[in-house]
Amino acid sequence: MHIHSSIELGIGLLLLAGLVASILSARFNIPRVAAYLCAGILFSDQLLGSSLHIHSSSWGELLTDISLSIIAFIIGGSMTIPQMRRVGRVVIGSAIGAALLAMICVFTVISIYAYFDDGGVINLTIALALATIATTTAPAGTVAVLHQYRAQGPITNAILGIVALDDALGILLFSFMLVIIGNESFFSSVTHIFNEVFGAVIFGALMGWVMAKSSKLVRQSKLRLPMIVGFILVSLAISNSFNFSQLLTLMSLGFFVRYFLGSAGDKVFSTLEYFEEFVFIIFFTLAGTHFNLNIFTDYFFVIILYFIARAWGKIKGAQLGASFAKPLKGSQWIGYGLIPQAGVAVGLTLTLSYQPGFEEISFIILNIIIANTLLSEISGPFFTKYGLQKTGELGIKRRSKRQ
Amino acid sequence: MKVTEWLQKHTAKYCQLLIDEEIETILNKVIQHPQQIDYYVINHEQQVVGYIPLNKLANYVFAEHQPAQTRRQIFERIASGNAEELMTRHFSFCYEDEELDDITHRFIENNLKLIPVLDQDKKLISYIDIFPLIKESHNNLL
Repeated sequence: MHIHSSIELGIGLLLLAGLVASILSARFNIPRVAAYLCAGILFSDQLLGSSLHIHSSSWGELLTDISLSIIAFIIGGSMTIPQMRRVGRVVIGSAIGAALLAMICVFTVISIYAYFDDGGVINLTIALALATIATTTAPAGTVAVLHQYRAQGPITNAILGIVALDDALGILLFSFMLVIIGNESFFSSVTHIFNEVFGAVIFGALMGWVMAKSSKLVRQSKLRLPMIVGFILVSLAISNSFNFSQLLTLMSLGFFVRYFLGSAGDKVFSTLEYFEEFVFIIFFTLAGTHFNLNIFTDYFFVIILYFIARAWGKIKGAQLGASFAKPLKGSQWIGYGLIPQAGVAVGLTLTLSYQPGFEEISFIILNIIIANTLLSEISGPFFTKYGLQKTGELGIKRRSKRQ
Repeated sequence: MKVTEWLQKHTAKYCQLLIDEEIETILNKVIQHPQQIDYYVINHEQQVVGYIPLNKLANYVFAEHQPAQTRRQIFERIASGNAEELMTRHFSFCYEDEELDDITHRFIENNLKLIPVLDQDKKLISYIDIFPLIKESHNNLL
């Protein structure tokens, strides 16, 4: 009997490999994200991928688009306006400071490298793409450390707020970057930003209003999921047709659904949050299939530069942002909790493969981000623990396993 | 049997939360009514406008003990709001003049343990607990 290579086989194998990786990571207490990536790496061309004929080019784009749309929708609806007011100036200031300085640092360092790397592939487009991706942070790793060490206090709360907020900033900056790179002149960029960004926000708000109204009619919980997925897919398709930014449309949809539904929005988002892990398995294993050992070795110095510049930018940016917003004792340690980078960064990078202007270089960016994800997921908990130790907000360590 | 008749036999103490009460006040009230599992929220006209399940309050109280949290849960943890933001607006209820047989299916369909009883002005009169209903139904079968 011969099993033909197919889309179903590719997706199925990646999901099952991710599942096994998840079980093993819990059993051996290793970062889950690293396990998912390794599961995907097993199916890369240099390993099993070529013999099993797993090529994601035909289905990867659709899967990435839908998965990232779900994540953008969840991120958009994660915070309400009253929460934004209550969360405090320190969180908002630090999140903006950390995102902007990380972006500036990565862009500067990679641009300098590109300048001296005469004849190399690294260029300003790669620098700009890496810089915007550098703004995102993965909350899971940081939350796990705060839980493990029973951390409590104002710095802990600030870190939590920032890790939950800065993916939204990252998506916003990434969308701006795509518009800028996709246009030839500055004037053309400005008009496109107006169309793509404002169009996306207004269209997302309109769809959010319609979805909120529809949601009130859907009383049966089992019908909620088809409604949500339906609205996400329709919004995605229409935003593509009108050249609105997909990510911003979906984030705006999530934000306005939560705004129009108020407390009833919880039911919509809790239904979809079950899918977050599913989406991340797809992202990481799919990203893993693009692994290329040669890029790791050829661009090892760029990977290290990216990691250091991002970490420094996050640490100093969070401190600067906090000091501008409101003086807070121990604010210099906030940034230490912002080192992990995973799901959203990998998701954004995967979309680059299908963006005009990135066809040739997305492979390099993806491998740099995979390497950084592994590095930051392993080192992130140590940074977080160190920072919180300095603030005195760590409690007694739990004996439970890492999640 | 009418709901009113049932309530005469089965009185219940209940806790109402005001729509603009903050989380600390809510918790202070809730711990005095351990028998309840859903807490009804009323507006300034005393009408019931939603409810907060105990599970949601437990999520807030034990937030720091959860090893994994979604972004939404993180914001609820660090920027918790008042009863209006916490409550669920859609809820099952019954009127005092309804037949008891007509409301039992609402427990099953909506996976509820309590159903609030309202008067025609949407003000809370009491609630019906599923446990005495099961007990009575079981005794009648024996």
